[in-house]
Amino acid sequence: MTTDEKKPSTDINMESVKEELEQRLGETSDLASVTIRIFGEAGVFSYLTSMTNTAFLMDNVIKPLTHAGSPLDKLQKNQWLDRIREQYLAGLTTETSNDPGHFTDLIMKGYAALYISGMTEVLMIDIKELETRAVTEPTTQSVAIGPKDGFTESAETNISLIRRKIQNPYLRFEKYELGQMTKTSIYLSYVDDLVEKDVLNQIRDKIQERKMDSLFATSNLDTLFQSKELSLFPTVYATERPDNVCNGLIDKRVAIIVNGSPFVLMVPSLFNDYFRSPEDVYQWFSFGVFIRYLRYLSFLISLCMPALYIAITCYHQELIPTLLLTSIAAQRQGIPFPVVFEVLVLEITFEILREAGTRMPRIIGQSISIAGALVLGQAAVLAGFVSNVSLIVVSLTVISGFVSPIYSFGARIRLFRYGLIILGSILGLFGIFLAVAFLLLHLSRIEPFGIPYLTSSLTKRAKKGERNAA
Amino acid sequence: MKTTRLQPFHTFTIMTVFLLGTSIIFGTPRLVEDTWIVDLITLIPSCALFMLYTHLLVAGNSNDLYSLLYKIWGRLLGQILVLGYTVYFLYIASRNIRDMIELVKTTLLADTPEELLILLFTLVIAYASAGGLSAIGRVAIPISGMVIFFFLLLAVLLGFSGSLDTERILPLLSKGISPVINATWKSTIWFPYGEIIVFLVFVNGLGNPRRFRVLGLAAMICSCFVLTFSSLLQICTLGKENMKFSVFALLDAARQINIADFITRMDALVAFIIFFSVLLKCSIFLYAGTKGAAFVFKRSFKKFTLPCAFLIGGYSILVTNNYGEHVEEGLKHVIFWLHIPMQLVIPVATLLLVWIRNLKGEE
Repeated sequence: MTTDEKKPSTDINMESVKEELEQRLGETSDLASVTIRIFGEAGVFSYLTSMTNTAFLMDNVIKPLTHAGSPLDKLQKNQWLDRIREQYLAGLTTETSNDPGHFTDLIMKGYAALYISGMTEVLMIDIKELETRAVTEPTTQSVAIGPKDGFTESAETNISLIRRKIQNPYLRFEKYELGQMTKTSIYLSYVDDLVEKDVLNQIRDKIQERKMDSLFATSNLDTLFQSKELSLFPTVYATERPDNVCNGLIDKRVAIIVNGSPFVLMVPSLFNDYFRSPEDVYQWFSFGVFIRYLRYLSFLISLCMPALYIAITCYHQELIPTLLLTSIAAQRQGIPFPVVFEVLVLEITFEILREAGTRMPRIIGQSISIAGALVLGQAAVLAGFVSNVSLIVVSLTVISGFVSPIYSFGARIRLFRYGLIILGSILGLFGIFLAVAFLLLHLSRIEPFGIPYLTSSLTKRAKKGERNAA
Repeated sequence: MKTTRLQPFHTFTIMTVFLLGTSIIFGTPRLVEDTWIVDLITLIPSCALFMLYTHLLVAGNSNDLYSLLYKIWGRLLGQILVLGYTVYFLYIASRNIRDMIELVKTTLLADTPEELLILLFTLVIAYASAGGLSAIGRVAIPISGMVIFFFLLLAVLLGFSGSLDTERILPLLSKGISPVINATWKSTIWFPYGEIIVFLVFVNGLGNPRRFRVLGLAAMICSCFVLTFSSLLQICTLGKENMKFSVFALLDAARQINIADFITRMDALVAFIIFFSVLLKCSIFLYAGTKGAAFVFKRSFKKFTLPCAFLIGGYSILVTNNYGEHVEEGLKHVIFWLHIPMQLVIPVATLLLVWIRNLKGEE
């Protein structure tokens, strides 16, 4: 074996191992250093109690080692470690090391260091056993029909959730470490024979170039994968649903799993992705298509509706049928504000309500709906503060804004809406045309990772490319 | 392998919308009564003209107009011609903006200062043109979808309001066939079809000349049918007399829509169609213009985008005093002094030179 050829670079003995550990880790209370006796030799066994649990340790490491019957006398001392690895700890990931820096790093990751006196190397045994949250239903992306599992904070669980769904030998998980301080592990996942190699290489480069201090959630990575050009629409897709990610992997995307975050990123993401829910294909085909187009429609409503309302009532009354016009005018009688002001006030009120609803403790949530619905809605109309029509328009807009299956997408639209409201109130329909034209142009100019944002799916794009080439 | 070439479908839509552009609203110039026959007949000579253009590229063994001119006419003359085309494209763009602004002023915003509208519009065009051909091509698909959808919607609504009367088409050719042929020759062939010469500038991005020819012909036939349909629609709604005196015939037709007193006054639809088609058309002209400037002055075309856009915007205000003058100019002087030289004389002369050079080269 290789150990025969290796010359110990530093003299290692029991004292030096203990000293190194104490010096590097200080007096942290979760460091355990236990003295044990194996085959008659004294040894020291060090690990972090916070990264494992005692039962696991006893069952899998200590018992096999201490119950080991056959003495190792016949073997050379430098072959002991190999024998221990092969015979007693065969199920666990192990490695040997004589570099104190390296084994401290490993201890941080949940390895235990076993040093037996007289050896030239330290045996590192992976004993990580952590409490993880059980796999539960996703909270932000729920479906009525379809798989109910959602990602958790543990990357291992997430990887397993993906592997369970795609049992394909080409499915790969590539491990990287990011964060100078936190050493967070992140995994690139892709299907090797499908993925766009060009995109994959760009992602690898970006991850390797990137220096950051800490990384706790996938959202920290958002900025890393945003395209350099100005992009008003999200180009990184974060999802809690394994079936979403699997759909993406099959469609040539790359998924990025960050240990500690229940959201998995998918790049490159396209405009259409934000209107697709995996549920679309779980139900009757026609209904799925209908629902998808309904989402596009509600995207348009949420974007343009208040601006259109303002533009038409202020500038182009002739577009409204006469009867409706008189009824709108009658309702607005006695309301002191211009329509723009009315709509803006209502919009901002709704934003405040929404923000309060998300941040406040769940128990007092009731009071929000009472204050919001009754006081602000009904009473504002009765008091002659805003008109009923404006209230209807704004409510419809707000509700439509939440239709997108991806929350972050809806959040961006809400901001554009204000821009449209202002343009519509200054320039009428012309202003809205301008804004729509700008957004369309913008959408057609974004190219995350060199792939046009308006592409419907990468698979179709590749097929088209082949046909063109032929 | 990465190419910036457009997909065939994008090329087709971009050309179709370009041809429909302003003409779907303003109609082909109304010099005679049977405009729809003019529309149909024009297809033949315009296709011939288009074949001439593509033949020019094939014969000159070049993939774009500018480098061909440069190659054939030599350095100095080539540069002058390229600049000439640049100015020509920018000029047409500013005329188009003026068309659009006139319509917006009659339908949407009567009192808003047009300078503000034009400024914002040119900024959007500049943004489109700076994105290059691929961005324009991608945006052409939703735009063509919307333009054609709203146009069909207009037709359907007109049908349901009972404003369509096919008898208004009659009498056919009351003054004989010659005025129709004359109108074709004098105007329709140059506008909108002749303007397709602008695409010669970026054939390289659209595919090889052969594919370009096929797609271009398809786009011309397709838009010819839409335009004929539009003329028929206008005649059936307004009658020949009204149509002759109408400024925006399709707009006047759209005003006839009335379904159960509920859906009325669809002016906004017309404004929508014109806005988006002019947007696309102008960004193509602007892109071609900046390409020309970039070719002569050897800088990136993006450096010229904003200045040229402002130039177009400013000139669209200065170009005429009033709409009457604008139309008169467009139908008579522009065709004679600009369209015919730029669309026919220079290409034909270039082609002759190419032939002479090729003959010499063979000897």
